[in-house]
Amino acid sequence: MERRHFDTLVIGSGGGGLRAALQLAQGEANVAVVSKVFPTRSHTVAAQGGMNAALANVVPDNWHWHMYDTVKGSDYLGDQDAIEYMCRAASHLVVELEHAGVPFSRLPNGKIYQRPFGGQSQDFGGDQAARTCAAADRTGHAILHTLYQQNIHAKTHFFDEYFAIDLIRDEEDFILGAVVLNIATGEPLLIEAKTTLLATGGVGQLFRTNTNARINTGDGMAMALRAGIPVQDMEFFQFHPTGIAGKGMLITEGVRGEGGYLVNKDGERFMERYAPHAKDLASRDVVSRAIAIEIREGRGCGPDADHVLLKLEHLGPEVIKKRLPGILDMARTFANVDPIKEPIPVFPTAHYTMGGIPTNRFGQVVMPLEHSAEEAIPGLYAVGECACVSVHGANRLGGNSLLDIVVFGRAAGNHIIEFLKENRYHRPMKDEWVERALSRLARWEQSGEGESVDVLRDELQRTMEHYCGVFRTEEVLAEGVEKVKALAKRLDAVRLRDQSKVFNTARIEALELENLVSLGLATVKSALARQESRGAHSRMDYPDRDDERWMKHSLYFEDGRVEYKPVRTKPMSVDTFPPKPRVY
Amino acid sequence: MNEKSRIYWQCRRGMLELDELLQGFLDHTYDGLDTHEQASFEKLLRCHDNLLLEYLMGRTVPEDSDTAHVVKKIRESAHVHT
Ligand SMILES: Cc1cc2nc3c(=O)[nH]c(=O)nc-3n(C[C@H](O)[C@H](O)[C@H](O)COP(=O)(O)OP(=O)(O)OC[C@H]3O[C@@H](n4cnc5c(N)ncnc54)[C@H](O)[C@@H]3O)c2cc1C
Repeated sequence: MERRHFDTLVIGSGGGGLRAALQLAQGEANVAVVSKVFPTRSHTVAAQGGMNAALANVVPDNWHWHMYDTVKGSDYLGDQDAIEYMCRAASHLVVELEHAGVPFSRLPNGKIYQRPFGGQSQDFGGDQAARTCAAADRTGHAILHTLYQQNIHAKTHFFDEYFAIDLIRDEEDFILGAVVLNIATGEPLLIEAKTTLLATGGVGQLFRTNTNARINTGDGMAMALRAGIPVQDMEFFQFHPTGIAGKGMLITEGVRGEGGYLVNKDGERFMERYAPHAKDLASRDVVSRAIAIEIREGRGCGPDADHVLLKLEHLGPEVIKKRLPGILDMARTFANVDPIKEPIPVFPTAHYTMGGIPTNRFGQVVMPLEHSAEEAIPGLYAVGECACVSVHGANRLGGNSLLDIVVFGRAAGNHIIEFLKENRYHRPMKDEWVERALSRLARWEQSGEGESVDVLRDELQRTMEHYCGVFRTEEVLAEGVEKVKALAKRLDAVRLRDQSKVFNTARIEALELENLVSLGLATVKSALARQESRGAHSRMDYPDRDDERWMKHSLYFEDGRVEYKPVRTKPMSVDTFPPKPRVY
Repeated sequence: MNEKSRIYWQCRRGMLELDELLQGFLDHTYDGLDTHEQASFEKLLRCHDNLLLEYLMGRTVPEDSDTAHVVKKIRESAHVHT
């Protein structure tokens, strides 16, 4: 097998991976970036809303208020040292991106324009703040392309369309790189690296209805699990209430803001029952749960009674065309309905993975070892949606994840540079460690009759949606655990019909399915274990947040164990924000 | 087979909207295209994601007539198969 050597291997070329790679390449490190799709096709490109920073260009603002909002938004599960670090760094990073060429929208006075987003306040819970910087509706695209160009310039080495299979871990727990697969040739490649950074994004594909690109299969998280590293807080998955039913694409809150409302099969405006005041504008989790309950109780619409309807015809064609043009295209294209004449079928859609690979604010992957609950795995880093640092805690605020990826991408880059100074040589590699990773590939060479990848993935996504979606109880989740376990067993019986090597995308999808199944189990088991409602995890049978018992992070291990570790409530320099009820 | 797989992988993009439209087109319509149209489709796949979205959602019409033709076909295919 071919081998290559680098100082750092970055797996994933979204905003997180590219920001880290840039820091390293500019710091004279020899960096490889591996991505399963062409780098600028990473999911970061989909982020339209923008990125938060307390620049105070529109209304008064400062990083400490941003920090307060983020801690509160996280429902007090976020780590306050990491949150302080992120909010303090934000303004600098926006300015840096601007200098690098990201065309942020401007105010008439020439300063960067900032829009108000949900969850933003002035003065620790006071008036609405305006904290989100955007490059029109293509912020993610602009950031990704700018970082890519800068990396090309800095001579980062790209392995485009290479699929990472598994990490290599030695007996002293050092990570020595990874085995990756060249998708075009089907040949494996061993990339030996003194440091490895996972930046593989989220796992939206766990759920049937989701907003994520199909590449978001959580590969890095599953690789960490197989290397003996736990995944943290996987029970926290953010759902958006109005995705196009059966498809997942987001219909923005703006539609309800303009006067659109939800109805069930009886034509009842059911949100009046769940939130008499805010009605359809109640917070995302409340609306999502209301939709799920309507459907569970048999008041869903359509032949399978599996969605509700979002009505906006009453707004009239002028208002719809003028204020919601994007929704017109979306509904016509993906739901085959014309919202001027008929309602849009909607269902809660999985949007963001708050959980992930546990890290500290330097991007180092940490886990309980001999001495503490947070010991660094030497040579291994993680940033972005695949990581859990944890700045989002139980619930992410809009505009905070683009910030997360650039802040911690840079921080990890800086820490790696220091690590490399003290770890100047590649550590010895043993064939048996490499064999372990290769055996994952060999497994897919078994031929014969068997189950299909597509069928199993579809069942997994439906199971996760039904048993671990927005409607969670002991009974439902316990059944979900059994169902996902049964699917995991059936995985052994899956066979590939195509055994060729060149561009065997079926094999890639099989590897992705393995990752999805192990993360499905992690998610449903962590959700069953947590007997409270906090942020995005809401249990009908434990409707309240229980700080006494549950203000702690969960850690799920590959063998099925769930352990816990404390939240880092002590910020770097300011006072702790103690838990308060999260009311808006 | 693997030529189509190669194109299939080029249809994996950073946005769900594109995955849905491009992969749906590949599954349902691509095989019935003539070679010239197939080449236009491949050329279209080289556009960056944001431009592709503009085209496929009908917000911008490509200047090049071959590209415009294949975009129209993708949009039609989406309507038939939704
Ligand atoms: C529709 C939508 C809109 C959003 N809007 C906003 C917004 O306005 N503001 C905001 O802050 N956030 C937003 N988000 C969230 C934000 O876009 C993401 O959280 C963020 O972009 C994740 O970046 P990342 O670098 O962690 O990963 P990604 O950009 O997802 O990149 C992951 C990378 O890993 C690679 N990869 C994965 N697995 C493998 C493997 N096995 N081998 C090799 N490579 C692999 C992929 O090829 C890719 O390059 C939005 C999300 C969605 C779904």
